[in-house]
Amino acid sequence: MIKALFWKEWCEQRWKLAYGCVILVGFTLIGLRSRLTPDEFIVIFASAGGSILMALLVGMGLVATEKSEGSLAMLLALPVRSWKIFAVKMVMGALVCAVPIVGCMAVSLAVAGGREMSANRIAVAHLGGISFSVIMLVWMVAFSIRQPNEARAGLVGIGVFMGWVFFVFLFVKVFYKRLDLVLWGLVITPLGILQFAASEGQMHTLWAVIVQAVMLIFLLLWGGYRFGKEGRSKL
Amino acid sequence: MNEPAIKIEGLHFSYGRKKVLRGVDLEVPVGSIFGFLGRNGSGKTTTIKILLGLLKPDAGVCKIGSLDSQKDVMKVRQSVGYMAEDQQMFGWMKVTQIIKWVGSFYPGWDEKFARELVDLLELPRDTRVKNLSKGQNSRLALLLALGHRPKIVILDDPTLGLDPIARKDFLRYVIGLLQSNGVTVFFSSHLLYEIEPVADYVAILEDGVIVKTGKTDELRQSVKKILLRSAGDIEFGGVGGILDVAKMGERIAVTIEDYSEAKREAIEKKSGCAAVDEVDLNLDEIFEAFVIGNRGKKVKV
Amino acid sequence: MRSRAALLWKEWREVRWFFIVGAAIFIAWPLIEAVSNYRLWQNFYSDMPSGMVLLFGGFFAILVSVGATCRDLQENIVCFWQSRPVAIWRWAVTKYVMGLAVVLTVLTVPVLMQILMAGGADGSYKRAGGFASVLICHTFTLILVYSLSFVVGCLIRSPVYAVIFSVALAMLVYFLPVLVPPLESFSVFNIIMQSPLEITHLAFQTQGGPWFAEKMRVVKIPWADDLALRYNIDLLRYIAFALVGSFAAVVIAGIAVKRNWRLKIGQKLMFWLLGGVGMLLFLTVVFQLGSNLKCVRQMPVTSDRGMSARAAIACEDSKGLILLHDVWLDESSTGRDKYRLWRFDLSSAEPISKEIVLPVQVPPMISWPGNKAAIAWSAEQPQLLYAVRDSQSEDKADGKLKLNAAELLTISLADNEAVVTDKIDLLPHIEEPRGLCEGMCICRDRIFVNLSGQLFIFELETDGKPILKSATKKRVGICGESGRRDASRQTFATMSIGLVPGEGLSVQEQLAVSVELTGYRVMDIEGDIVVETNNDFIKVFRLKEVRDDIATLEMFGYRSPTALERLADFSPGQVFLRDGFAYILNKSADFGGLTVYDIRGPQIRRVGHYAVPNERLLAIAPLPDGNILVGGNKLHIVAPPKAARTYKAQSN
Repeated sequence: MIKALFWKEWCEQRWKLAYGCVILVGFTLIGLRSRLTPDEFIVIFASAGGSILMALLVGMGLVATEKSEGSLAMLLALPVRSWKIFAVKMVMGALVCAVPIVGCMAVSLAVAGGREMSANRIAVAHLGGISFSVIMLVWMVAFSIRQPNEARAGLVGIGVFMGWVFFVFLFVKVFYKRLDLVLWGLVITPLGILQFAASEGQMHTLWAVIVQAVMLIFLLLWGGYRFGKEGRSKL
Repeated sequence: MNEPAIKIEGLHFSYGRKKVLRGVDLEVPVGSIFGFLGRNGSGKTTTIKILLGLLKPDAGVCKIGSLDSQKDVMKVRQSVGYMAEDQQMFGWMKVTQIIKWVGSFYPGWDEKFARELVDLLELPRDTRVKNLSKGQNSRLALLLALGHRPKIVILDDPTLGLDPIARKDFLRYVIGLLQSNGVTVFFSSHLLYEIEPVADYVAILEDGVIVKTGKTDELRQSVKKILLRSAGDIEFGGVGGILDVAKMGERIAVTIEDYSEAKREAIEKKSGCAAVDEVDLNLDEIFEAFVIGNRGKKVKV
Repeated sequence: MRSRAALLWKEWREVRWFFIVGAAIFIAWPLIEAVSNYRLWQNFYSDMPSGMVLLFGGFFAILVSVGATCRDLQENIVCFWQSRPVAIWRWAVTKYVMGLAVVLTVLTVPVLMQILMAGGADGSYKRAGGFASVLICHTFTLILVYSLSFVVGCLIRSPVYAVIFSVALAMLVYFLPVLVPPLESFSVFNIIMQSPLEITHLAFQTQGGPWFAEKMRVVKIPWADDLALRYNIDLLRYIAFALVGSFAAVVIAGIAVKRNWRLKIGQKLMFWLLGGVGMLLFLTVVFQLGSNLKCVRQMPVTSDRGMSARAAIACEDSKGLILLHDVWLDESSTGRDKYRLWRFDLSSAEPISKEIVLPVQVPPMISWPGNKAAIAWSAEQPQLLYAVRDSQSEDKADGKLKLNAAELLTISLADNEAVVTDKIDLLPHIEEPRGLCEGMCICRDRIFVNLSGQLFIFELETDGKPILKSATKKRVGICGESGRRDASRQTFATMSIGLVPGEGLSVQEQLAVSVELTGYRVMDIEGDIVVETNNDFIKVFRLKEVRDDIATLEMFGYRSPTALERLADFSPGQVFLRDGFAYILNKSADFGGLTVYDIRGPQIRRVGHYAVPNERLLAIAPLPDGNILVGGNKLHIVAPPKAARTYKAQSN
């Protein structure tokens, strides 16, 4: 049963996986081989930019497409608990987000490991990107479950990201004299994962991971609950 | 002689390579309720869109009164009330807002009448369109079609998706509001049992052409079914006007267009059987005969 | 009138959320930053608006236009309003105008604010003029992008797909003209980089000569007595392009709605289209700027580095010196100069010697005119380095700068120590001590120094000791640019070079020495071909005639950097010529590297590039095997491009 759900999600999402791999890995490979810019720029652009792109691409279509096509009601009428359906969607979505970035990491390590950046730094940057992508995916899906179509879900995703950026901006402006507070402020938003992955702030990285993990669990539970409720309202 | 309210001559239209209308000819008398019948995908909505100037035909002429529907588009739309099939409106607008908004495009919009219609059609004034039920949505669409007191109202499958009670109510409103005022109603539907009691004229559209048109009563009079006692294979070639031949238990039912005694005798002679009964048909059965009738092919008993 | 008001009211109600959100992001956000800056530095200013508008303005315009069109063109809604007596053109115009008003308000008000803040804060109208360029140029780009998205929305009618398609189109509008040189005039970045709009003092409006007047126009600012607005006529061409494109797009949109044209494309194809456009643009950049020369060998010189400022390589037959000038910060964050020297022998197993630190002196031991160090070294005396040392200070009498020290130093590098073994004071021989050293070189056992408008010639004895032979007031190097004025290229077609005295030197050697002595211009010579380059051009000259120690050269090749190269900070620091190819070192921090150009014909072509981002490549030198030595904190031996190898093979 679960296998069937995974198969369905795989059939629907696999083109996004292929797309992400071709575009992101291609960009990374060509950029690093051509030495167009410092390696750091290519690595950060691929991991951070790629993470946002994949989260938006996958998040838009996970629930909203089902709603706009009208298949959500049919899905929830199956003899499977709604939280399982939701979980399968999120797991597959996370995989589709993560795999292209893993591909970028492999290419970066192979082509540019130890060249301008150490292998360790490259790996950490990409792991940060993968984490950020999954977090953004969860936030986006949790907040866009009620949206009737992909366009609205996409706008929600952009709004979520802009909200984080604005929060950090405001935090920095208000607490500019207290760098320690600013760093703690970064811990609250997923942007902190990206920032701390690139820096040496070991302790803050740990706190960022813990805080984001707690938030993630809450959002997944909340999203699952809303998913089931939304689906039941359509039946 | 009065010119018809709607006149269509030699109308041809294709969606790409798919020919939808192959020469439609139609006249709708003034003040009548005209039922425009056809199956799904037969071209009813396409015909109506051409009438309103929303589509350009490949050939043919459409006139609303003396106005050409292609050349005098704005005048046509100002003089016609139109309700589309499953009409969607701007969901964010409230009922009062959309009435006012639509009304601003019609010089002849009667605000008092529109307000009366809101009460008559039991529409909630401050509810957003997206929150209306299907029935309320249809009634609102009808109001928007009638607010400027048009002389011609075109309704494209107005009862689509409504439950039986809602359909009945809707038709009641339509007839009540329009019939008595001499308004011409051009009404497309495939729920023939609903059209039958209200339509003065009907036209059947099939395979891009009008296969039958005329007064409803006359149509019911002219299309009949005769039942023959069966006796082996029967061939009806050469007998004109046969719409359909089917086996009904021990009998053979022959549906005939433009029924007359002479035709009945011709069929009896051809079949070698005597007619045992003569049946009046309803519009549904008449429609079925015209649209999917086998036109008298060999029937094996 | 009622119907018009009704249409406007409806459009406003639908688009107002875009206005509110857009205003919050593009106006409120920079205002918050300005307030914060005021708290910090008492300066109510924000740098954000023009950057945000350039980065995100196009996307905002796309969202507004697609949102507006697709909403009304959904299958059943289009039937609803089209069946009313609403003329399609009126619908289209109202929708277009309302959306455009929102876009322009949200995206121009913040830049206007920035202009006012910049002009008022420090009175720096030049800075304000720069933002005005962004405002004017980018506004018309936004109109074009908005219009294109409008027509896409009318054709595709699905919001997500229309946005994706529009983003792909916008990427082409913004970036394709940068990447394709014939389309440069239509690049918004190119136009902005030309500073097409400046607020300047009236007194300066006539400067620049006739070629300047051909391109620029001046309009007095009515409310400011001494200020004028100077604009480039290329800006008008760009505006015309944007407006014509927008008008055409709107007309097509109206026709598309009237005739119910639809573009049905699936979701996957849309995303692949977007990805494809992005990759195509990226590949075009890579093709033009990417590294394609092979690195044969790399040798680390030093791993510790300050803020490496400059480098020089002196090289003969795979042996030579590399000199690094670093700036280090001490505890008090004051910059301290440090000159470090390494000898190298590429044929040896350990090619780089130990570091030789030059003693810190004030003034430093080595003068550095332009991008070349005033050093001379020869493989015949590898332990000796000759350098000019000079400095100047303000003359109290007239307030002008005056030379207060000028010496030729002979530095011994024996035992890996830099010891000054000889010093010749040049100041007594200088008639007018104004002007630092402009260049120095060795040729045929003679050292030539161009200093303070005088030519010093030293002869080297057998032990390498220099003896001053002459110190004549002679102008060597570029002494005139004249001839046919090429207005379209804004340059001169002939160049005159004053030659050094020719005793024992061929004309080519005289020319080579004279070119070497023009330290402040990036030039090199091979045979009778001279190449000169700077941020704005690469020019190739051929020797036309020599008369009275003046060589006249005629330009036969010219290339200005493409828009992409300018965006990538084309700033040549050094050039050498070999076999008809010019090897130019770009000293840009982020896009620096070695670029090779084929200068054999009038069309100068770029044929190769070697880049090492994050590692400043500071000096180049030709190697006898045809490779190129590129140096900084590492020495790279780079193979020449295929075209150069092929040509050399054919020549041989």
